[in-house]
Amino acid sequence: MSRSYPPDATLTVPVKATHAQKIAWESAAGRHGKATAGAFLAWAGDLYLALLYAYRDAVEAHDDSLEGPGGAERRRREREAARQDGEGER
Amino acid sequence: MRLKTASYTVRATTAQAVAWNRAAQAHGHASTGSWIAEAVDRYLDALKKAGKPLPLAWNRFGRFRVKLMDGREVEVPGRTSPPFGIFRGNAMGPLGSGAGRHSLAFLPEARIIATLASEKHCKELASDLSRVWVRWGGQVPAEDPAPLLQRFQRENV
Repeated sequence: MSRSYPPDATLTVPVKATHAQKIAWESAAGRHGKATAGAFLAWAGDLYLALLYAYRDAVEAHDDSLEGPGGAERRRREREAARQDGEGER
Repeated sequence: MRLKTASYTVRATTAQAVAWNRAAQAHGHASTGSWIAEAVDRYLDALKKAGKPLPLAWNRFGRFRVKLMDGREVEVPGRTSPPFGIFRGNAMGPLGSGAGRHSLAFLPEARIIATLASEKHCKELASDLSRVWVRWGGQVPAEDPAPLLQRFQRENV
């Protein structure tokens, strides 16, 4: 397990913390085998997103299974359209 | 409003920066940094909740049988939450009210699982074991409980 995360980073993101967050993050960094709190923040941010997307995929697959094959295709088109709308707004 | 007292620099690849930026916008954060802070706090919170023992409901005035080290099987007073029971004492037998030792027993076999420093520790061990029991559909699990017991014995030192 790499103690620096990610190894090929070129950008930086500033993150501010309260005293309580500082203590919690630095302790968690040690428990997760990360060299710095910053490395832990990057790793946890990625993990949080991966878990969020996996959860959404599972919910969508479950909803699709309830609606049958026609409903699943309709829902897929709706999601695709919503995604494109969202990207257009950005 | 919480006072920010520390600042961290998080190193990121371009792909990470794009993904975090999108997530920050989607979740209504003014900056990527504030999104990371919230994501990490949520992750740590979920981790803490996942490790909490499942509280079992305990009957205060139960009586059950346990097998002692010398081979005798005796009835002891204690708390019960089937299939577990907790009594004041150890594998030698029940102890008086001043004794600090409590034992967790598996009632269907009248077997003492562990002797710990407090009733609270016995309840926590029962909670942890009940997770294993649930995985095994209410049957006595075939997997080795030694690591779980060792952790509780270690924390009791």
